[in-house]
Amino acid sequence: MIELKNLSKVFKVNNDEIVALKDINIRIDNGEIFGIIGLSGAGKSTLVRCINLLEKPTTGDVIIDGLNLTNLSKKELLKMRRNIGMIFQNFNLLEQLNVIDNVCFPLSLLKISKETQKEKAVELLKLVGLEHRLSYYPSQLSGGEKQRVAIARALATNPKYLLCDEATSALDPNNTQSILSLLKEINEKMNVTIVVITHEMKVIEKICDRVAVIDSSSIVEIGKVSEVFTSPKTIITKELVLPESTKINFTGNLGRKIRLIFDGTSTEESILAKLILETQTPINILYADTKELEGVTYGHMIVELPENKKSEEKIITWLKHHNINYKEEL
Amino acid sequence: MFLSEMLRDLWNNGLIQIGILETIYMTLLSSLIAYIIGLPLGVILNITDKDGLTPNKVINSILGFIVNIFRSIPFIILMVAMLPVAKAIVGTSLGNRAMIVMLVIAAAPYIARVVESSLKEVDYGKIEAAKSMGATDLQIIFKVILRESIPSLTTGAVIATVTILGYSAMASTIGGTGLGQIAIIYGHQRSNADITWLCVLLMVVIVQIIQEVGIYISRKSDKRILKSRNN
Repeated sequence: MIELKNLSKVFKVNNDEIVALKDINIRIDNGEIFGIIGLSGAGKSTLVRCINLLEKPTTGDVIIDGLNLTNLSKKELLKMRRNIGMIFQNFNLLEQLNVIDNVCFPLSLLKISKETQKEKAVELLKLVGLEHRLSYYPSQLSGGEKQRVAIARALATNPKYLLCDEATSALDPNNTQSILSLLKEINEKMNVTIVVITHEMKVIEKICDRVAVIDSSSIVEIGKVSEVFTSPKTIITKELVLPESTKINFTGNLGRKIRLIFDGTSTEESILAKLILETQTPINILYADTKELEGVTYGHMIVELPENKKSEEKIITWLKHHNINYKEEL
Repeated sequence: MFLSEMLRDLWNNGLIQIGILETIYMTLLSSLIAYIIGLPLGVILNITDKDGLTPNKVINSILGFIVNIFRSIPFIILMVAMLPVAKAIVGTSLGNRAMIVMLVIAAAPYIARVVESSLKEVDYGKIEAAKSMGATDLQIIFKVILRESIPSLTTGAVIATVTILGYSAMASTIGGTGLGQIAIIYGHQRSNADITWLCVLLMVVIVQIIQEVGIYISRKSDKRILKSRNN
């Protein structure tokens, strides 16, 4: 279990103080995939670096399996880090070493025989599907392959935790999907607790159990992905859930706007068609999207109601009658 | 033939051949010693930098200041000024042993800067990744920073060696031997232009060989430039 308690981080730059993290409290349970999402500059990279103390928090505690990392000696901390693997946006492989030596690298820091290192490395490279690339150098690999090597390398010391800092941000959509599936597989098969840092909602949707939304150095929302996704409470979360481009259209529309939220039970039926047919009122769809979270299909739809008060009432009554969730959109 | 009699005498007595060997010997030995001193200095400059592995402003400024002083004195003046130092170290201020001391004093700070800039090319992300695996600072220096910059360090070593070759010719003005001395004594002072030009030509050939071999080794060792897949 990873616990961050009252964590804050202040950088001093030329006598100026820049607050990167403000009073962060998060608990990450064993076995889950926990997402931290935020726009760039929100502080998420600093936050993940505080977990393995690559950044030393200014105040607060980082407690992993009951051990407070901020109190450890340097030697104890280095030992603890072997239990927390980390992968990065830019992979950070050693370019002068081939694939197998890269995976052996964390083991070569310990007093482990060459054969044991190689054995472990081959086993991990099989797991990530790169057993045919053992003697290749990073410059000969694609981005997706490089991240697979980085994952194998991060797992070499059998860590209980894996931190992923924008691990798929430099990859194309296909590679992103396959890396995310691999992370999910590692989480399930090897029981590795994973912390995912990203600015993309689709990464969170695909693999995370819970998510924390970080904005301007603070956590503004935290909860199960399905809850945060279907009822975003803050503007920032809405921005992340709804792609930027869809909001531009809204300004020209004058009617009352509401957001319809469907859960798995209602998307099967053609709600919108029924609504229009039964109320005999036209509505304007501004945005619609469906996503699958934890095997359940969720839908979002932002619709503009007619400016006519009477028709508006009619629709609202219909929605209430059919128990369909809706929220006012500004 | 246009060749002067003196050139023929020098060649027949094997003096030019010895000059070539002396130049190569002085250059390589001084480069080696200067590198042994300059490499750790370059590492210290790199890791104590404010973006380095273990930032330390005091050490970095003091070392940087000393290196800059030596770098800013022209070699010909540094050479004369360092004669007593050479005497203190090797017991004489004359001959090749003293010249090697001078060359090392001039070249080590230069090499320190060359090494520092090679090491700077290593992306901090790689250092961060090694840290996240629990690597100690020493392990990061040897297994990440130095190992990742071997091709660049090789190129830097070649450039430094060529510079030292030039210094070794200058050292002959105050008693060093080699092609520089032959060019000055027999070429310049006795007005045999052909001897001067022969020495120039030989120096050019030596520089070319060092350069080509060095760059070949550097490219061969660099795993970033293998683009094609072999199997």
